[in-house]
Amino acid sequence: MEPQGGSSATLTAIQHHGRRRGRKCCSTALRRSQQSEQVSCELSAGVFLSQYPRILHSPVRHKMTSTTSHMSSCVLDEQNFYRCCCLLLQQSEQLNDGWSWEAVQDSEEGYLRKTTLRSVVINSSTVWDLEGSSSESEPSDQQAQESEQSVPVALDEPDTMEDDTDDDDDEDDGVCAVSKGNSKVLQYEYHIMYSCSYSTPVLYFRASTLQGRSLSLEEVWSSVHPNFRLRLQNSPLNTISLQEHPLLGQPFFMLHPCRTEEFMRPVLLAAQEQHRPVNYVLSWLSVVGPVVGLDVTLRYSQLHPAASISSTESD
Amino acid sequence: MTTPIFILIEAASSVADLKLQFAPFSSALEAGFWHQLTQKKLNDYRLDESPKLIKGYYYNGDPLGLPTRLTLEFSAFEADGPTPARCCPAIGTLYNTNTLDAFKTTDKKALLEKEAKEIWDAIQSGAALKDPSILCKFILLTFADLKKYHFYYWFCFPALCFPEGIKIVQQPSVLEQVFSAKQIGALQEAYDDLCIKRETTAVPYFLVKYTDETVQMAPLSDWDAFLTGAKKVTVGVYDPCTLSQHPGWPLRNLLVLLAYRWGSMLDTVEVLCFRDRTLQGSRSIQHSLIFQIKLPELPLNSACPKSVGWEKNPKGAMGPRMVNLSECMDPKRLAESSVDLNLKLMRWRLVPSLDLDKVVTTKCLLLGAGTLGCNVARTLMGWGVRHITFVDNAKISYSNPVRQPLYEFEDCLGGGKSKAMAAVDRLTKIFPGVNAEGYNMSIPMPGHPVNFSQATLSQAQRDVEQLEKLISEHDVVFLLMDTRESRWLPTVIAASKRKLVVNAALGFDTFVVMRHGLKKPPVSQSVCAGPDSSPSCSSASSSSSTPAGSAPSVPGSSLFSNIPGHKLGCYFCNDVVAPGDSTRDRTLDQQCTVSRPGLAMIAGALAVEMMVSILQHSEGGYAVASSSDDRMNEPPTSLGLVPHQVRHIDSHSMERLMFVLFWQRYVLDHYEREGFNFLSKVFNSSHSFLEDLTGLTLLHQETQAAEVSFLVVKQWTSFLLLQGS
Repeated sequence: MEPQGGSSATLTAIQHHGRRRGRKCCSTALRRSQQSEQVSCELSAGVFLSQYPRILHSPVRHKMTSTTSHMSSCVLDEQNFYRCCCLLLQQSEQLNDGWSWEAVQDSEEGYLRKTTLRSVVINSSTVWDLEGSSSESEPSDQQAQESEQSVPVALDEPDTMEDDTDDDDDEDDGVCAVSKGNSKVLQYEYHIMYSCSYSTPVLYFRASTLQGRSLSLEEVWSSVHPNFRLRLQNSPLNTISLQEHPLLGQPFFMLHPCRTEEFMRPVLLAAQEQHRPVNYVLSWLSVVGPVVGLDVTLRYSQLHPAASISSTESD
Repeated sequence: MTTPIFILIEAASSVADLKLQFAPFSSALEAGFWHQLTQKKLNDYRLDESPKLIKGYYYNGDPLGLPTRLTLEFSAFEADGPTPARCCPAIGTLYNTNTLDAFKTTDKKALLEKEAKEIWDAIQSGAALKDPSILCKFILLTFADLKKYHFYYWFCFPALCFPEGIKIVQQPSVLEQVFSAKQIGALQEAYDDLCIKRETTAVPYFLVKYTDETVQMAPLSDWDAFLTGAKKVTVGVYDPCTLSQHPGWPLRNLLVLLAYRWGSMLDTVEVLCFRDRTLQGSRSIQHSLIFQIKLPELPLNSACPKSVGWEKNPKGAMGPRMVNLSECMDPKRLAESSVDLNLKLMRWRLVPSLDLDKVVTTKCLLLGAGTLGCNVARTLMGWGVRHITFVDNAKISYSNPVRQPLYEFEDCLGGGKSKAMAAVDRLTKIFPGVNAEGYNMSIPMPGHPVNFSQATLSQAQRDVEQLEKLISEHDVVFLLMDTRESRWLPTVIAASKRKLVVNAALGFDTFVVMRHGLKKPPVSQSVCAGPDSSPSCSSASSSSSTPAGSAPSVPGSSLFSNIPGHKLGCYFCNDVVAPGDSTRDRTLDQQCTVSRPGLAMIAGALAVEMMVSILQHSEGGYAVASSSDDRMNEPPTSLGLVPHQVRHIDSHSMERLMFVLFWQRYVLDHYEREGFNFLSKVFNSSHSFLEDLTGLTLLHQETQAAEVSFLVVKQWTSFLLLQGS
């Protein structure tokens, strides 16, 4: 099912955008935010992804035309970043995984965006009850073991203001009865952007209550799966810092990309050896996403890349 | 206080079994919405209170258990912007008031009635048939307090009511119980086709016609053509609710529309509450619900029906909500949390046991706001220390800014600002979260007489009292002055008050950074009479024996290992010259601190790092002084060694010296007994008074017996520099 008339147009736009931007070097906003970091100059490794030169139009997919022995560094150039994003968007659309492309007004830049909801139980150890989309397969023994470490989420909203002017007129009998549950819904927002300094994708995220209050990192932690919490804190993958979103100017948490190449290299090299196409962004996301509560369904890997082509073209 | 969401009680449906009840929308605002509203208010709306069009959306693919939401995100202000895929848009009216009073006194009933009237008019005119999204509108009343970043808001989802309520003919059924797998497949296909035809990804309301084999769909506006000859009417509604007994809010106004237009023709109507979710990439619609509804009668040409819709607040009462976003919007709060977060990163891998709270909550008194003071203050800020107090009596001169990083050229003009005050201003500019105070005052010094007049004497007395007060109010005292003798009084007071003292002093190419020995707390004030009762000081005769009450000495270890913090000396203990007026008979270059410019930064930074290391030690200022032998052992703190002092002797080597001495006993004893009288004697007299008092004169002859300990440990500094930063 590909009902969106506009979708392929959007994808094409991104792709053009990528090509255009690839020539022009990198986004000023990203550069601004990471000015001090050393820029890797070895962009040649983008050839990894050159098996997706024209995602939308080329039916030739599995020919590894230009994997080379010159590959000195497993980095992602900006043009290929946009290509990967296109592919991911297409697949997400097939899987209804919720990724969308957000272009920034009056600007050539944009980012991949996804939001999820998760309900957490307040003042109870089982924080992980009902997750937005994909934790239903959580083994229960794990849950027991987690419960010791999990911190109850302190999500006190400020006092609501009682309104004295409004008298409730008659009770509305068309509303079903409600009771106060002890669970709370949190909204998670994930953005994927390209970092020119590191030549890698970067994951930005924030969580908020339904009232729109962003959570502090502690609050986010307490709602993140304890196993991941531990893993993240000891993980060589990443560190989290609070940063202004380079395009929106709002505070976001960011998984720092300084170690990205380190853990992506083996993935890419292995794929190269086996002549397997790899979507850098998708592989990267499947590593970094889960540590901050963003699951990447395995169904992505089961999608035949050609399927996405044909389904898009059938529109 | 927690404010849980509402969960519908399913049990209630068995009581009111045949009455149709709807799950209300819960408003859901993304963080970006408030950021955007702030921008709009500041740049666009300003004082304009006129209603604005905004846009939200709802989704019918939520997993079980999530509340039925109407979401507004940062893009809500672009009313004709795109809607997220597979979501239905809802157009709303924003009333942003300028004052809290206006927010409170807005006539909510009138707003609701106005909106309800528009819906009713659209139903009557037929406009709602062409564009059924009119049925799903909302009102948002807001007041943005942008000083406090408090946002008050109240949502309304207007719904027209039948006077007698709505009856259902039977309990709702799940689609898969009614439809065959084939029909379900056909239904899904028909819906997707309809979406494509309408060039959208979600259709809020539609008509359904089905047989055992096929399913057809059409937009509401095709009613007459599509349903000619149909015996039974099935209406589809895109249903954001996940409850198994109730439909969501969007059905409510649709039923009024149906009753108004076709109520006379239809007795019952079948409603498909279309729910369409994808989990792990697999799509399903079989959990959609089917209701058989008896349409109540609506008298033709009747007035607008009664309407409801203001959202209850988290307490379940009719009232607005308020959200405090200062933490995520107030730049000052953002700076604070960023600073803290940055520090916490240290704990993740490098120093997991680091106790940052101990550091951050330490109150630091900086005596001297010159080169050392400025550098110490900046390093303290780097560690997240919030409470910093400066004492200095000098004004900023033209030579200062290049070496003293808290001052600028402008600060020197017009005679110069007071250093203590200017330092506070600058700290606050650098980091508004700091709690800084400045005292423009002099510290009385030995050999600098105060007895010229009664006025000078009482001024000195007030200064002493002020200093005593400041020292008691702080946890750590930094001695960062430019003369030796000015360190004397605070040393005595801090020792008496058992405050940790960190001392930094510069030469031309030498410096010393040291912690003063911290006397044990007095056992009992009343007993503490004789000179020997002071528990902290070792006498000349006892210091050579094993320190009583501290860790037992390891046989064969050096005399200088395991010296506990309470037996360490201070700045003056190490000297064989008592403090006096060091500026008398000196040339200009001897009077001023002439030192290599980099030293102040190194020494200032080391002083703070030393404080932090001490704070991390379980015994704090009583920590045993680390020696060179300890470098091979398990470090005493998470940050490594806690030496007594770090000295930079020449431009090559870093060395650490450790002295154990005992002048404090005499001086402290006098100070604690005689107070200011004793102090004024010291201020006013020459060197020999202190030297005689402390027995230094005698000491010169008895150096060996006095057990002056000397130890050199290389490279603590470089060790610290490598490890700490």
